[in-house]
Amino acid sequence: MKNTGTLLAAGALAAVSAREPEAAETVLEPAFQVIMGYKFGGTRAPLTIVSDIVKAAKNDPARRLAIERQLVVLLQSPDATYDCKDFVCRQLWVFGSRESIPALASMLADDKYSDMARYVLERNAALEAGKALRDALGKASGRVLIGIVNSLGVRRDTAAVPSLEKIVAGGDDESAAAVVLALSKIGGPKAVAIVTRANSTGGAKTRVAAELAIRVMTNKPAPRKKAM
Amino acid sequence: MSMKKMNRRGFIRGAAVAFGAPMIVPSSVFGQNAPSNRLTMGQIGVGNMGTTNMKKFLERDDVQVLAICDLDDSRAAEGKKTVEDTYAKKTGMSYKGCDLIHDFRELIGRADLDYISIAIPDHWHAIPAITAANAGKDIYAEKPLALTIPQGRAMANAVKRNKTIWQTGSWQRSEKNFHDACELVRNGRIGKVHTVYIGLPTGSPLADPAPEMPIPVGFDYNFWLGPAPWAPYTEKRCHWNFRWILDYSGGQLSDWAAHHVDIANWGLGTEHTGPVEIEGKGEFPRDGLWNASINYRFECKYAQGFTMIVLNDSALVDGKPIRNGVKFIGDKGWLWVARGGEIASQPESIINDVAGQGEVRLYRSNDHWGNFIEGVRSRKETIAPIEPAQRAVSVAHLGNIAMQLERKLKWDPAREHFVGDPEAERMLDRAMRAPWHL
Repeated sequence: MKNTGTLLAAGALAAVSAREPEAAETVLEPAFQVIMGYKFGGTRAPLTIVSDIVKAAKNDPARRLAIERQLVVLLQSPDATYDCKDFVCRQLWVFGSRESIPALASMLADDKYSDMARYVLERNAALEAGKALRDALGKASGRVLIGIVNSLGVRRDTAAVPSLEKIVAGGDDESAAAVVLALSKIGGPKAVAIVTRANSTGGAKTRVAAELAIRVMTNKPAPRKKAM
Repeated sequence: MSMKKMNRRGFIRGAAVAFGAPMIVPSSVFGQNAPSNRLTMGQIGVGNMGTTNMKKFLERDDVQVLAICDLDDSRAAEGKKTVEDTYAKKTGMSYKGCDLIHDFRELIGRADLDYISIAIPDHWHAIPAITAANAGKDIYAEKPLALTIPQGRAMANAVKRNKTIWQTGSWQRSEKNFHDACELVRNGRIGKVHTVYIGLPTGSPLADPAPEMPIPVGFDYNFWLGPAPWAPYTEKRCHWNFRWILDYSGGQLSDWAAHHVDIANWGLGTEHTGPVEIEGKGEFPRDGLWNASINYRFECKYAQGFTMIVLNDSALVDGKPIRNGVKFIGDKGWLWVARGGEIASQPESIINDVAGQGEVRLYRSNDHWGNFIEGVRSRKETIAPIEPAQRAVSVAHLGNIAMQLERKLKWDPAREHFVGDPEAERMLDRAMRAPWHL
């Protein structure tokens, strides 16, 4: 599928390949400039070129770091489109290091960008990724908060337990229910105690979640309606 | 009693009252199965496979479909009509007793359902299945098992913990030729197997533009996206087209690996494990909406000493296209098995050399949907339980990751984690869009 975007991106790839890695880019390289305005429905070819650049640097940590910094510039740019940032996060999902965590952390409490930031942070094993998620708990609410809680559950983040306990005590039934299920994944005596307490003192949704969480943590089956 | 709220006990009686039929309905209306002996089911998803599966259950006199759920109102209405027309034909009376439910959680929460049948896009497989298992329902579910290996493991854990009777829709297991082929391989008729080829359909690119479009009236697109990343609506994304997009599926590769890799694992006795090394190349579309692999070929080495080679069906093996099917190659011959009852071997005599006394006899089923119903009643394992489904689709996911990373990967099949490759490990799973979670 040849078009202007493809040709621009191909030229950009050639330009990028000829360059030496830089310590900390603040000016975008051509290939990255091309994707800044990417919108769904347009050609995906320039994105593929950037993916190729990422893959080509797989054995060159310095080049990878330089690329990550370019992607962070896009994440932080008010001129980069939603679809561009979505693409950037899909790249960082695979190879993002500690370098991009601060930029992603600043997106976590934003309803528009929280999911794509979690897409990266949930799978990044760096301790800083867990800290970014924990720190965001106090800045988020509703659907966004539930997403962050879910990610901490998937990460089995034991350091999050005290903060999660505060959410249960906070009184929002849906958030508390999400916490209870996250705690069933995290496990440990403290998590068990919080879930057990929530099962008797929580709101309706929290109690339903707590009942399930207790079954999961104690490896008990659901009550079954007997088949005829 | 409202016709819409009837349970199975009230089904025949209610129909009789409402339409002036005799109060005593002949047992022949639903065969010899009294209403109280019928199993009740809810169908989640009434697209292609959902409707196919539901019709298999509608054929049975010992099952009653009480409710269906679909995010596309037009499909839901069509599904309801299919149910009610079928029962009207069976009873010879007008029938209005199939509930339409929009949210799968409401359907699963109904106390009057024995089991749930699920046939929805792959990115939605895990959540309803785990919810249903946690609600004490048995489950018939379409393959491939899950979008990712950890999602499949979470499903398997929930099914095992809840003692759920589970049937995967990998119906080839209930076909005689596939069963016989696996039994012959298990019994050493082709000697020690060193290679198995898996021929699967070729993928497809989308050359046409796929611009953002208005969401059709009656289609709950946001719910359809569910745990997948948010993306604008375009018709080439949804319904059957989800298959070509990696946010929702592993492509033709994972769709069909759930059949043919499953058969290979059955024949080789590796249904509860996986490869230890994966390497290959795939051609992924470089432009357009669809991004699942088109052509692919990867090799999986197993600790059991054989290599599984998975490739699209137009790829050449010994100068000829592999075709769609499974070819086991051992040190005493080979055996080929494919759909349409195909089974062939070299030497030719192998396929008639049936298992004798003292040899391995594999589980036998002649009716995939009936086998599930038997399992629900007897609480005995079905022909296609969840663990083999997890191990079959895992091969596809591992292949996809290896091909995207363009390097050899090492895999620990016991722990279901990569060895020494943090990037591959990240690609094992994806964060779900809030508020969805497992």
